[in-house]
Amino acid sequence: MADIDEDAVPPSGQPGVEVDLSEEAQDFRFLANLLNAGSQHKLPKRGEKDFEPDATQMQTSVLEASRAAMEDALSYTRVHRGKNRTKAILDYGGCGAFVEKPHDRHFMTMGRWTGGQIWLAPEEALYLLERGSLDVQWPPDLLPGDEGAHGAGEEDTVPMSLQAAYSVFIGMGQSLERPLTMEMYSVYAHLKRLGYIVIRAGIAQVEGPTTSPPARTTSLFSFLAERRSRSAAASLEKRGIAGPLVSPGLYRSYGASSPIHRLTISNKMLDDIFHLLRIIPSHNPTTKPTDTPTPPYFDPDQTPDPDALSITFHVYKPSSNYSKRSPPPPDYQIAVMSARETTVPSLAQLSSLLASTPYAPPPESMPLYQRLKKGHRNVILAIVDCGIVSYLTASDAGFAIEGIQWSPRKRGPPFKRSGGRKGRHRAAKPTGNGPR
Amino acid sequence: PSDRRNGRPNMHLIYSERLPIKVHPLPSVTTNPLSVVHVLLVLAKHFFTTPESIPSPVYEGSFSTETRSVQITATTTINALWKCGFFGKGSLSRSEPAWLQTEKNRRGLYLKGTSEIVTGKRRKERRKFKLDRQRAQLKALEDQLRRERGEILEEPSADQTNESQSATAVKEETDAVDIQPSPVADAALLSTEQTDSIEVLDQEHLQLSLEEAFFLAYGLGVLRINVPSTVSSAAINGLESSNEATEASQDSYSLMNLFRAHSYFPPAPIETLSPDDPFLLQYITYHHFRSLGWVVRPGLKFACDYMLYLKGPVFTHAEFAIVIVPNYKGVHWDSEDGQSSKRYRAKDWWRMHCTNRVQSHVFKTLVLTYVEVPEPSVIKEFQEHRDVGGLLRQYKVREFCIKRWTPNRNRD
Repeated sequence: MADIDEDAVPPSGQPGVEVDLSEEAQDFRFLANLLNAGSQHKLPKRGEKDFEPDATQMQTSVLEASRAAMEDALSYTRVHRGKNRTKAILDYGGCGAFVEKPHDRHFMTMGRWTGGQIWLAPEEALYLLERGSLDVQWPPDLLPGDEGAHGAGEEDTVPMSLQAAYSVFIGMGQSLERPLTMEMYSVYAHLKRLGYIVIRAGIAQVEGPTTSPPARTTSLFSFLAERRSRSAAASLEKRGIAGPLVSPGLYRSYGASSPIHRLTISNKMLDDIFHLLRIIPSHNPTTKPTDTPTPPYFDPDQTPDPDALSITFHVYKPSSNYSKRSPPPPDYQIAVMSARETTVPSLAQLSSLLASTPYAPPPESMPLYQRLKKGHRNVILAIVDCGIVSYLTASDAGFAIEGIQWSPRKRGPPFKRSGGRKGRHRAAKPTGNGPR
Repeated sequence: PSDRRNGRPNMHLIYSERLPIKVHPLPSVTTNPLSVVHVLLVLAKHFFTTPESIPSPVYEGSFSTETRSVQITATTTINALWKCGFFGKGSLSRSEPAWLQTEKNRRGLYLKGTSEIVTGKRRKERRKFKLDRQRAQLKALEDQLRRERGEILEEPSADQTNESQSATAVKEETDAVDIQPSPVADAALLSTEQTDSIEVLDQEHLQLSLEEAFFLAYGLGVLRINVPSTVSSAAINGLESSNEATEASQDSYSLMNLFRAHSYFPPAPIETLSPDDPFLLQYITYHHFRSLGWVVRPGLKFACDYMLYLKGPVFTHAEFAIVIVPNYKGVHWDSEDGQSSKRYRAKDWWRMHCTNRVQSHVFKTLVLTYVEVPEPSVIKEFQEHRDVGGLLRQYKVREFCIKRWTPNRNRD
């Protein structure tokens, strides 16, 4: 009955509708305000979008003003001011750049201390240079001899142009896990501009939480439930050769039973209809991800699978208490993919990617839909097509364990059920423990 | 519980059965000691006369090659299958078989709203809202143009504007009526012309998709599917052709083969069927979610394979949109032969974003359902042992929820 929904779609623009502001055109007149009144730190508001020319003078003048403002903004000359000028020297072999005297607050969250200097990853150096916060210099030994013959001093280095920086830093990083690609830089710069703290995965040792679910405590209930499901699985093995899965007889409930029912249940009494129907194996996100077994046809001498996906960036919200020395577990983990070179990932790719993310089961108090959407692990895929980034969250949804009639926590104590009206996620019928 | 709530039928009562299998729950035990007696009484009653949960005789349906569906014509069966688990679709309605009611309503015999009528009303209201908005925008534009031309705009007094507006509104409304005769007027016309005692014959039947029919027959055992003897020929039945041509209903093994063959057009011969048949992939997914308790409905209109409803379409909107992604597992599929025999390729990101955009616009969550496709040897085993359950157990399902992430909205 898909149809019922189709009429219920509210017109866009209502509060609930997901409006992505980043996809709207900027109104550049607000930029002009920002430039003129530099002292007033007010964030620009967004204007309204016109869809077609309507021949009014007002529209034309607004457009003109916008264009002029954009030109002003772009022609604004940015200079390194004497005091705040931060210099860095390209470190070609080490894949990055060294900063000597960091002044900027950027270095609170960027770079890494090595031997009294701050070392910047290629994307960090490029981003700061593009932003105008960093002056990257060519190292003296890379320069032709006669130019570098001025003697010692500050003058023997040459500043790097933006074009040169792009061509040097993109593709750099053979010693890192992955060299910097244009796609990675697009994502990095986009998130940095929005204020996020972005750290290349693998550079900083993140004290992450355990990536596998904790060993479950065995209570009497869970022990019995497990035994029951195991015996159920064994008895299911032989069923269903010719059907029906639900053999004729008396059934007392559709779904899972009350706790007392589960305690007293024996193999003969597996009489929940939905239980009998479950014969197709499915994934349980609470189990520890098994290391993907190497298939026999896979050459073990080969380098790691080139198609394998990995986490590219750890991302922290701007408000998080990030410290470089002991980075907290990241708020988001992002894997960057190229839209033109990759397809929707295969199960093996996606499951090994998710296995490398921390195990974070949804809280039990969450409603069913939200629990399913949040999943037990999740990762953000940043799909980049020539500078345009689309972010998708992929989460390990526990449909199999959140089955509506399965979860015992949704059930109240067996004797306090008022009957009649059902809870939202409850089994349809109250059940008892009587013999059949 | 009463059968009407707030003047509307009590849906919880009408649709209380989740599957077309009748359950006989024991009454709940309360603090009242008498309730224990009640339980014992029911137990005793069930001991002496054990009620049967499976309907008897089982429902009957017939397979139709032309529509690739199973058709149900008996009214009681149609009602039972729709009300208990929302199976099938009315052949003349968009989902619930409501043609008869709509028809009676149209002829003015029966004044009770069907969902189609409610939708029609809502559409009309929405259109009026949009027309009003457009008119207001046009007026603002005209005013601006006149102001720029230097015309002096007289600020009309409040009642004048109201008057002119209502005048145009009335004009538009009459226009609208001219263009599109309203069904209400139509019905009124008909009812005055025709005499009231007309017997309207129900022209509608329920059509079950192949996976629904197989689930009802193989999973629940509540449906017998009659197959025309011309269809159940030896070519489809496979190795053994000992089935007499006259035998109408079929066992699960033959049904599975029949449906798999008919998931191609034209129906494929049995030798060419592979583990990634459309029917097999669809049935695995359908059965998986049904067995978890979801109400599963086809999702073509939402650019996906299935929609998941928590209790059923009359209670809630669907929350999840299922897209099946076959995932080939095994050495065979990596060989050159295997690669070329795959019927599905990996989806590109553009297609994926199309689907996801649609889902976020209709407030659904996209669920990529990966189905692990085993090697073709399992089909040979299936033909040998005729073990339907054994075949289904070779597949494995895993779901991922996909949602757009907007950096702008997740900063704090």
